[in-house]
Amino acid sequence: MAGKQHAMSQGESVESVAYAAGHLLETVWDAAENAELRELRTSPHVVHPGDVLFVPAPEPRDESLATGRRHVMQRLGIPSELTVRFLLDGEPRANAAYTFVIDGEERSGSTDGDGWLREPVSPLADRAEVRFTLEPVEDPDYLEEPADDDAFHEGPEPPVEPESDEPLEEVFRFNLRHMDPSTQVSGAQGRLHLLGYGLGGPRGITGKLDDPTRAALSAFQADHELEVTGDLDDATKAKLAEFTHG
Amino acid sequence: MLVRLRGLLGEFELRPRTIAESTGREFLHLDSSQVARMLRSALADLPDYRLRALLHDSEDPDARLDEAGLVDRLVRLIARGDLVLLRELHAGISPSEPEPPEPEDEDEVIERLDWIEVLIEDEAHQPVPYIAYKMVLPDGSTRTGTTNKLGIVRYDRIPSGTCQFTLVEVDTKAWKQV
Repeated sequence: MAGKQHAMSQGESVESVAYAAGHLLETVWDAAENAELRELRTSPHVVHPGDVLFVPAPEPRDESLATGRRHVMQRLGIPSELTVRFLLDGEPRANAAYTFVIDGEERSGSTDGDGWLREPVSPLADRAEVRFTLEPVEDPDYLEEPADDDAFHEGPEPPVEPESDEPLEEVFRFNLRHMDPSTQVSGAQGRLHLLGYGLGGPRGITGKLDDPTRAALSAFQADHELEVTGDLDDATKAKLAEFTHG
Repeated sequence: MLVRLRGLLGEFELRPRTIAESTGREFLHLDSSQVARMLRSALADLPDYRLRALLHDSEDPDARLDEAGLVDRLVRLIARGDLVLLRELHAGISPSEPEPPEPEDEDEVIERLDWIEVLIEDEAHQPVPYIAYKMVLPDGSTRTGTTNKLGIVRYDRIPSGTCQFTLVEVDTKAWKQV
Protein backbone atom coordinates (compact mmCIF):
# COMPACT_ATOMS: atom_id res chain seq x y z
CA MET A 1 0.00 0.00 0.00
CA ALA A 2 1.27 3.47 -0.86
CA GLY A 3 1.89 5.72 2.09
CA LYS A 4 4.59 6.99 4.42
CA GLN A 5 6.04 6.32 7.83
CA HIS A 6 5.34 8.95 10.45
CA ALA A 7 7.33 9.27 13.68
CA MET A 8 4.94 10.36 16.43
CA SER A 9 5.82 13.39 18.49
CA GLN A 10 4.47 14.72 21.80
CA GLY A 11 1.00 16.21 21.32
CA GLU A 12 0.07 13.86 18.47
CA SER A 13 -2.30 10.92 18.49
CA VAL A 14 -3.18 8.42 15.81
CA GLU A 15 -6.44 10.30 15.42
CA SER A 16 -4.81 13.69 14.92
CA VAL A 17 -2.32 12.30 12.40
CA ALA A 18 -5.09 10.43 10.54
CA TYR A 19 -7.28 13.53 10.43
CA ALA A 20 -4.47 15.72 9.14
CA ALA A 21 -3.80 13.15 6.40
CA GLY A 22 -7.48 13.07 5.34
CA HIS A 23 -8.22 9.68 6.88
CA LEU A 24 -10.46 8.12 9.43
CA LEU A 25 -8.60 6.93 12.53
CA GLU A 26 -9.56 3.32 11.71
CA THR A 27 -8.12 3.49 8.18
CA VAL A 28 -4.70 4.33 9.59
CA TRP A 29 -4.71 2.26 12.78
CA ASP A 30 -6.05 -0.86 11.05
CA ALA A 31 -3.55 -0.71 8.16
CA ALA A 32 -1.64 -3.99 7.90
CA GLU A 33 1.63 -2.07 8.18
CA ASN A 34 0.67 -0.98 11.73
CA ALA A 35 0.20 -4.49 13.12
CA GLU A 36 3.35 -4.25 15.25
CA LEU A 37 2.35 -0.89 16.73
CA ARG A 38 -1.15 -2.17 17.52
CA GLU A 39 0.39 -5.01 19.48
CA LEU A 40 2.72 -2.68 21.36
CA ARG A 41 0.25 0.08 22.27
CA THR A 42 -3.14 -1.71 22.24
CA SER A 43 -4.98 1.65 21.94
CA PRO A 44 -4.65 4.29 19.20
CA HIS A 45 -5.38 6.95 21.82
CA VAL A 46 -2.20 6.46 23.80
CA VAL A 47 1.03 6.25 21.84
CA HIS A 48 4.51 7.40 22.70
CA PRO A 49 6.76 9.97 21.07
CA GLY A 50 9.01 8.12 18.64
CA ASP A 51 6.45 5.44 17.79
CA VAL A 52 6.36 4.98 14.02
CA LEU A 53 2.95 5.00 12.39
CA PHE A 54 2.28 4.03 8.78
CA VAL A 55 -0.06 6.54 7.09
CA PRO A 56 -1.60 5.31 3.81
CA ALA A 57 -1.91 7.72 0.89
CA PRO A 58 -5.52 8.96 0.73
CA GLU A 59 -7.59 7.75 -2.21
CA PRO A 60 -9.71 10.57 -3.66
CA ARG A 61 -13.22 10.09 -5.02
CA ASP A 62 -15.59 12.07 -7.28
CA GLU A 63 -19.26 12.68 -6.58
CA SER A 64 -21.58 13.57 -9.47
CA LEU A 65 -23.74 16.51 -8.38
CA ALA A 66 -26.61 18.06 -10.36
CA THR A 67 -26.77 21.81 -10.83
CA GLY A 68 -29.73 23.77 -9.47
CA ARG A 69 -29.46 22.08 -6.08
CA ARG A 70 -27.80 22.37 -2.70
CA HIS A 71 -25.81 19.28 -1.76
CA VAL A 72 -24.57 18.29 1.69
CA MET A 73 -21.36 16.32 2.19
CA GLN A 74 -20.28 14.97 5.54
CA ARG A 75 -16.65 14.79 6.61
CA LEU A 76 -16.61 11.64 8.70
CA GLY A 77 -14.52 11.11 11.80
CA ILE A 78 -14.98 14.62 13.14
CA PRO A 79 -15.57 16.04 15.59
CA SER A 80 -13.54 14.07 18.07
CA GLU A 81 -14.83 13.83 21.63
CA LEU A 82 -13.08 14.70 24.84
CA THR A 83 -14.36 12.58 27.71
CA VAL A 84 -13.30 13.19 31.28
CA ARG A 85 -14.82 11.85 34.48
CA PHE A 86 -14.70 14.11 37.49
CA LEU A 87 -14.68 12.69 41.00
CA LEU A 88 -14.89 14.49 44.31
CA ASP A 89 -13.65 12.51 47.28
CA GLY A 90 -14.04 9.39 45.17
CA GLU A 91 -17.64 10.14 44.29
CA PRO A 92 -18.83 11.19 40.83
CA ARG A 93 -19.19 14.93 40.43
CA ALA A 94 -22.66 14.46 39.01
CA ASN A 95 -24.74 17.07 37.16
CA ALA A 96 -22.18 19.75 37.87
CA ALA A 97 -22.33 22.90 35.73
CA TYR A 98 -19.04 23.79 34.07
CA THR A 99 -17.48 26.18 31.62
CA PHE A 100 -15.50 24.42 28.92
CA VAL A 101 -12.83 26.28 26.98
CA ILE A 102 -11.29 24.69 23.89
CA ASP A 103 -8.75 26.57 21.78
CA GLY A 104 -10.22 29.89 22.94
CA GLU A 105 -13.88 28.97 22.39
CA GLU A 106 -16.00 28.96 25.55
CA ARG A 107 -19.07 26.78 26.13
CA SER A 108 -21.32 25.93 29.04
CA GLY A 109 -22.37 22.44 30.02
CA SER A 110 -22.82 20.07 32.88
CA THR A 111 -21.52 16.63 33.74
CA ASP A 112 -23.89 13.70 33.49
CA GLY A 113 -25.25 11.74 36.42
CA ASP A 114 -22.05 9.74 36.64
CA GLY A 115 -19.67 12.69 36.57
CA TRP A 116 -18.69 12.45 32.89
CA LEU A 117 -17.95 15.45 30.71
CA ARG A 118 -18.29 14.79 26.96
CA GLU A 119 -17.47 17.62 24.59
CA PRO A 120 -16.95 17.62 20.81
CA VAL A 121 -13.50 18.91 19.90
CA SER A 122 -11.33 19.18 16.82
CA PRO A 123 -8.90 16.25 16.45
CA LEU A 124 -6.20 18.92 16.38
CA ALA A 125 -7.35 20.88 19.45
CA ASP A 126 -4.40 21.68 21.65
CA ARG A 127 -5.58 22.66 25.12
CA ALA A 128 -8.78 22.33 27.06
CA GLU A 129 -9.89 23.95 30.28
CA VAL A 130 -12.78 22.99 32.54
CA ARG A 131 -13.98 25.41 35.21
CA PHE A 132 -16.41 24.56 37.98
CA THR A 133 -17.98 27.38 39.94
CA LEU A 134 -17.77 26.70 43.65
CA GLU A 135 -20.80 27.50 45.79
CA PRO A 136 -19.93 29.42 48.96
CA VAL A 137 -19.83 27.04 51.88
CA GLU A 138 -22.22 27.98 54.66
CA ASP A 139 -20.53 27.84 58.05
CA PRO A 140 -23.06 27.09 60.79
CA ASP A 141 -20.72 28.58 63.40
CA TYR A 142 -20.46 31.89 61.58
CA LEU A 143 -22.47 34.68 63.24
CA GLU A 144 -22.94 38.00 61.59
CA GLU A 145 -21.92 40.92 63.74
CA PRO A 146 -25.00 42.80 64.97
CA ALA A 147 -25.43 46.23 63.54
CA ASP A 148 -24.24 48.93 65.88
CA ASP A 149 -27.37 51.01 66.01
CA ASP A 150 -25.81 53.39 68.48
CA ALA A 151 -22.93 54.25 66.30
CA PHE A 152 -22.97 57.81 65.22
CA HIS A 153 -21.63 58.76 61.89
CA GLU A 154 -20.96 62.31 61.13
CA GLY A 155 -20.89 63.35 57.57
CA PRO A 156 -21.36 61.10 54.63
CA GLU A 157 -21.43 57.34 54.99
CA PRO A 158 -17.99 55.82 54.65
CA PRO A 159 -17.54 53.93 51.39
CA VAL A 160 -18.47 50.29 51.68
CA GLU A 161 -15.90 47.88 50.42
CA PRO A 162 -17.67 46.13 47.52
CA GLU A 163 -17.71 42.37 47.60
CA SER A 164 -15.95 40.75 44.66
CA ASP A 165 -18.34 39.65 41.87
CA GLU A 166 -15.85 37.08 40.72
CA PRO A 167 -17.10 33.64 41.73
CA LEU A 168 -14.73 31.10 43.14
CA GLU A 169 -13.72 28.63 40.50
CA GLU A 170 -11.95 25.31 40.38
CA VAL A 171 -9.98 25.07 37.15
CA PHE A 172 -8.67 21.97 35.37
CA ARG A 173 -6.36 22.36 32.40
CA PHE A 174 -5.53 19.62 29.92
CA ASN A 175 -2.77 19.42 27.34
CA LEU A 176 -4.49 17.16 24.85
CA ARG A 177 -2.67 14.11 23.48
CA HIS A 178 0.20 14.57 25.90
CA MET A 179 -0.54 11.50 28.01
CA ASP A 180 2.18 8.91 27.52
CA PRO A 181 1.39 5.18 27.75
CA SER A 182 0.92 3.88 31.29
CA THR A 183 3.88 1.59 30.74
CA GLN A 184 6.16 4.64 30.76
CA VAL A 185 7.14 6.37 34.01
CA SER A 186 6.02 9.70 32.48
CA GLY A 187 2.65 8.12 31.64
CA ALA A 188 2.23 6.81 35.17
CA GLN A 189 3.14 10.22 36.58
CA GLY A 190 0.59 11.94 34.34
CA ARG A 191 -2.18 9.65 35.54
CA LEU A 192 -1.16 9.95 39.19
CA HIS A 193 -1.18 13.72 38.87
CA LEU A 194 -4.68 13.81 37.35
CA LEU A 195 -5.96 11.37 39.94
CA GLY A 196 -4.82 13.69 42.71
CA TYR A 197 -1.75 11.81 43.95
CA GLY A 198 0.47 14.74 44.70
CA LEU A 199 3.52 15.02 42.53
CA GLY A 200 3.81 18.74 43.05
CA GLY A 201 1.80 19.52 39.90
CA PRO A 202 2.66 18.95 36.24
CA ARG A 203 6.30 19.72 36.99
CA GLY A 204 6.40 16.44 38.87
CA ILE A 205 6.09 14.61 35.52
CA THR A 206 9.81 14.08 35.12
CA GLY A 207 9.95 10.65 33.54
CA LYS A 208 12.12 9.53 36.48
CA LEU A 209 11.10 7.13 39.23
CA ASP A 210 11.99 9.59 41.99
CA ASP A 211 10.87 9.67 45.61
CA PRO A 212 7.67 11.70 45.12
CA THR A 213 6.67 9.29 42.35
CA ARG A 214 7.36 6.25 44.54
CA ALA A 215 5.27 7.79 47.32
CA ALA A 216 2.43 8.52 44.91
CA LEU A 217 2.62 5.00 43.48
CA SER A 218 2.47 3.53 47.00
CA ALA A 219 -0.61 5.60 47.84
CA PHE A 220 -2.28 4.61 44.57
CA GLN A 221 -1.49 0.93 45.14
CA ALA A 222 -2.92 1.06 48.67
CA ASP A 223 -6.13 2.74 47.48
CA HIS A 224 -6.64 0.14 44.77
CA GLU A 225 -5.80 -2.88 46.87
CA LEU A 226 -2.60 -3.66 45.01
CA GLU A 227 0.61 -4.85 46.59
CA VAL A 228 2.30 -1.70 47.87
CA THR A 229 5.74 -1.73 46.22
CA GLY A 230 6.30 1.88 45.23
CA ASP A 231 7.37 0.52 41.86
CA LEU A 232 5.70 0.74 38.47
CA ASP A 233 5.01 -2.98 38.33
CA ASP A 234 2.76 -4.72 35.84
CA ALA A 235 -0.32 -4.74 38.09
CA THR A 236 0.05 -1.01 38.70
CA LYS A 237 0.56 -0.28 34.99
CA ALA A 238 -2.60 -2.21 34.16
CA LYS A 239 -4.64 -0.42 36.84
CA LEU A 240 -3.37 2.99 35.71
CA ALA A 241 -4.22 2.11 32.10
CA GLU A 242 -7.86 1.68 33.06
CA PHE A 243 -8.13 5.42 33.59
CA THR A 244 -7.14 6.38 30.04
CA HIS A 245 -7.81 3.26 27.99
CA GLY A 246 -4.15 2.63 27.46
CA MET B 1 -46.30 14.77 -61.56
CA LEU B 2 -46.75 15.28 -57.90
CA VAL B 3 -49.62 15.09 -55.50
CA ARG B 4 -50.06 17.43 -52.62
CA LEU B 5 -51.58 15.82 -49.60
CA ARG B 6 -52.88 17.27 -46.39
CA GLY B 7 -53.00 14.91 -43.49
CA LEU B 8 -52.67 14.71 -39.77
CA LEU B 9 -49.01 15.54 -40.03
CA GLY B 10 -49.49 18.64 -42.13
CA GLU B 11 -48.91 19.25 -45.88
CA PHE B 12 -46.55 17.13 -47.87
CA GLU B 13 -45.89 15.96 -51.39
CA LEU B 14 -45.89 12.54 -52.92
CA ARG B 15 -43.64 12.39 -56.00
CA PRO B 16 -41.90 9.90 -58.22
CA ARG B 17 -38.30 9.65 -57.12
CA THR B 18 -37.11 10.44 -60.65
CA ILE B 19 -38.39 13.99 -60.52
CA ALA B 20 -37.81 14.59 -56.88
CA GLU B 21 -36.38 18.05 -56.58
CA SER B 22 -35.85 18.65 -52.95
CA THR B 23 -34.83 22.29 -52.72
CA GLY B 24 -36.63 23.84 -49.79
CA ARG B 25 -38.04 20.50 -48.79
CA GLU B 26 -37.03 17.61 -46.65
CA PHE B 27 -37.58 13.92 -47.15
CA LEU B 28 -39.82 12.17 -44.72
CA HIS B 29 -38.42 8.86 -43.63
CA LEU B 30 -41.25 6.88 -42.14
CA ASP B 31 -41.85 3.22 -41.64
CA SER B 32 -44.62 1.47 -43.59
CA SER B 33 -47.22 1.63 -40.86
CA GLN B 34 -46.66 5.34 -40.42
CA VAL B 35 -46.97 5.92 -44.20
CA ALA B 36 -50.18 3.90 -44.37
CA ARG B 37 -51.71 5.77 -41.49
CA MET B 38 -50.80 9.10 -43.02
CA LEU B 39 -52.07 8.21 -46.49
CA ARG B 40 -55.44 6.97 -45.30
CA SER B 41 -56.17 10.30 -43.71
CA ALA B 42 -54.85 12.25 -46.69
CA LEU B 43 -56.40 10.44 -49.66
CA ALA B 44 -60.03 10.82 -48.65
CA ASP B 45 -60.86 13.85 -50.83
CA LEU B 46 -58.10 13.65 -53.42
CA PRO B 47 -59.19 13.73 -57.14
CA ASP B 48 -58.66 10.35 -58.80
CA TYR B 49 -56.90 11.66 -61.88
CA ARG B 50 -53.99 13.06 -59.94
CA LEU B 51 -53.27 9.79 -58.26
CA ARG B 52 -53.69 7.96 -61.58
CA ALA B 53 -51.14 10.28 -63.18
CA LEU B 54 -48.82 9.76 -60.26
CA LEU B 55 -49.07 6.02 -60.45
CA HIS B 56 -48.46 6.16 -64.19
CA ASP B 57 -45.30 8.15 -63.61
CA SER B 58 -44.33 5.54 -61.11
CA GLU B 59 -44.49 2.80 -63.73
CA ASP B 60 -47.60 1.31 -62.33
CA PRO B 61 -50.05 2.37 -65.11
CA ASP B 62 -52.32 -0.56 -64.56
CA ALA B 63 -52.96 0.28 -61.04
CA ARG B 64 -56.58 0.49 -60.19
CA LEU B 65 -57.76 3.10 -57.83
CA ASP B 66 -60.01 0.91 -55.80
CA GLU B 67 -59.83 2.12 -52.33
CA ALA B 68 -59.10 -1.22 -50.78
CA GLY B 69 -55.67 -1.66 -52.35
CA LEU B 70 -54.62 1.91 -53.02
CA VAL B 71 -52.91 2.65 -49.76
CA ASP B 72 -51.07 -0.66 -49.77
CA ARG B 73 -49.78 -0.06 -53.30
CA LEU B 74 -48.59 3.43 -52.46
CA VAL B 75 -46.85 2.13 -49.37
CA ARG B 76 -45.11 -0.52 -51.45
CA LEU B 77 -43.99 2.06 -54.01
CA ILE B 78 -42.66 4.32 -51.27
CA ALA B 79 -40.87 1.41 -49.64
CA ARG B 80 -39.34 0.46 -53.01
CA GLY B 81 -38.18 4.05 -53.48
CA ASP B 82 -40.26 4.73 -56.60
CA LEU B 83 -42.26 7.34 -54.75
CA VAL B 84 -40.96 9.73 -52.16
CA LEU B 85 -42.60 11.86 -49.53
CA LEU B 86 -41.36 15.39 -49.08
CA ARG B 87 -42.37 18.09 -46.74
CA GLU B 88 -41.69 21.76 -47.10
CA LEU B 89 -39.25 22.88 -44.47
CA HIS B 90 -40.99 24.25 -41.35
CA ALA B 91 -44.31 23.47 -42.99
CA GLY B 92 -45.40 20.67 -40.75
CA ILE B 93 -44.74 18.60 -37.69
CA SER B 94 -42.26 15.77 -37.73
CA PRO B 95 -43.81 12.56 -36.54
CA SER B 96 -40.68 11.41 -34.77
CA GLU B 97 -39.07 14.55 -33.44
CA PRO B 98 -40.49 17.10 -31.06
CA GLU B 99 -40.95 20.58 -32.34
CA PRO B 100 -37.75 22.52 -31.78
CA PRO B 101 -38.00 25.14 -29.05
CA GLU B 102 -38.59 28.71 -30.00
CA PRO B 103 -35.42 30.71 -30.35
CA GLU B 104 -34.62 32.40 -27.06
CA ASP B 105 -33.92 36.03 -26.64
CA GLU B 106 -30.98 37.21 -24.57
CA ASP B 107 -32.92 37.71 -21.35
CA GLU B 108 -34.16 34.14 -21.43
CA VAL B 109 -30.60 32.84 -21.89
CA ILE B 110 -29.50 34.61 -18.71
CA GLU B 111 -32.44 33.19 -16.75
CA ARG B 112 -31.49 29.70 -17.78
CA LEU B 113 -27.97 29.93 -16.34
CA ASP B 114 -27.69 27.57 -13.42
CA TRP B 115 -26.07 27.32 -9.97
CA ILE B 116 -24.77 24.74 -7.52
CA GLU B 117 -24.05 24.82 -3.79
CA VAL B 118 -22.23 22.30 -1.63
CA LEU B 119 -22.16 22.38 2.18
CA ILE B 120 -19.49 20.38 4.00
CA GLU B 121 -20.44 19.49 7.55
CA ASP B 122 -19.06 17.24 10.25
CA GLU B 123 -20.86 14.39 11.99
CA ALA B 124 -22.30 16.84 14.52
CA HIS B 125 -23.77 18.82 11.58
CA GLN B 126 -21.41 21.71 12.12
CA PRO B 127 -19.93 23.35 9.00
CA VAL B 128 -16.37 22.45 8.04
CA PRO B 129 -14.64 25.63 6.87
CA TYR B 130 -11.55 25.92 4.68
CA ILE B 131 -11.51 22.36 3.37
CA ALA B 132 -9.98 21.94 -0.09
CA TYR B 133 -12.16 20.85 -3.02
CA LYS B 134 -12.13 20.51 -6.79
CA MET B 135 -15.24 20.89 -8.93
CA VAL B 136 -15.47 20.17 -12.66
CA LEU B 137 -18.42 22.13 -14.08
CA PRO B 138 -20.76 20.79 -16.80
CA ASP B 139 -18.80 22.69 -19.47
CA GLY B 140 -15.61 20.85 -18.45
CA SER B 141 -13.97 23.79 -16.72
CA THR B 142 -12.34 23.12 -13.34
CA ARG B 143 -12.69 25.15 -10.16
CA THR B 144 -10.53 24.60 -7.08
CA GLY B 145 -10.49 26.27 -3.68
CA THR B 146 -11.57 25.81 -0.09
CA THR B 147 -14.98 26.06 1.52
CA ASN B 148 -15.76 29.40 3.10
CA LYS B 149 -16.05 29.99 6.84
CA LEU B 150 -19.59 28.61 6.70
CA GLY B 151 -18.38 25.40 5.03
CA ILE B 152 -20.00 26.32 1.70
CA VAL B 153 -18.93 26.20 -1.94
CA ARG B 154 -21.28 27.96 -4.37
CA TYR B 155 -21.12 28.77 -8.06
CA ASP B 156 -23.72 30.84 -9.89
CA ARG B 157 -24.24 31.46 -13.60
CA ILE B 158 -22.93 28.08 -14.66
CA PRO B 159 -24.26 25.76 -17.37
CA SER B 160 -26.88 23.24 -16.35
CA GLY B 161 -25.85 19.61 -15.98
CA THR B 162 -23.72 17.51 -13.70
CA CYS B 163 -20.64 18.63 -11.78
CA GLN B 164 -17.88 16.34 -10.54
CA PHE B 165 -17.00 17.22 -6.96
CA THR B 166 -13.99 16.02 -4.96
CA LEU B 167 -12.57 16.76 -1.53
CA VAL B 168 -9.04 16.60 -2.81
CA GLU B 169 -7.26 15.95 0.48
CA VAL B 170 -9.75 13.53 1.99
CA ASP B 171 -9.74 9.76 1.63
CA THR B 172 -12.73 8.13 -0.03
CA LYS B 173 -13.81 6.51 3.26
CA ALA B 174 -13.69 9.77 5.20
CA TRP B 175 -16.58 11.63 3.54
CA LYS B 176 -19.99 10.85 2.11
CA GLN B 177 -22.96 12.53 0.50
CA VAL B 178 -25.84 13.07 2.90
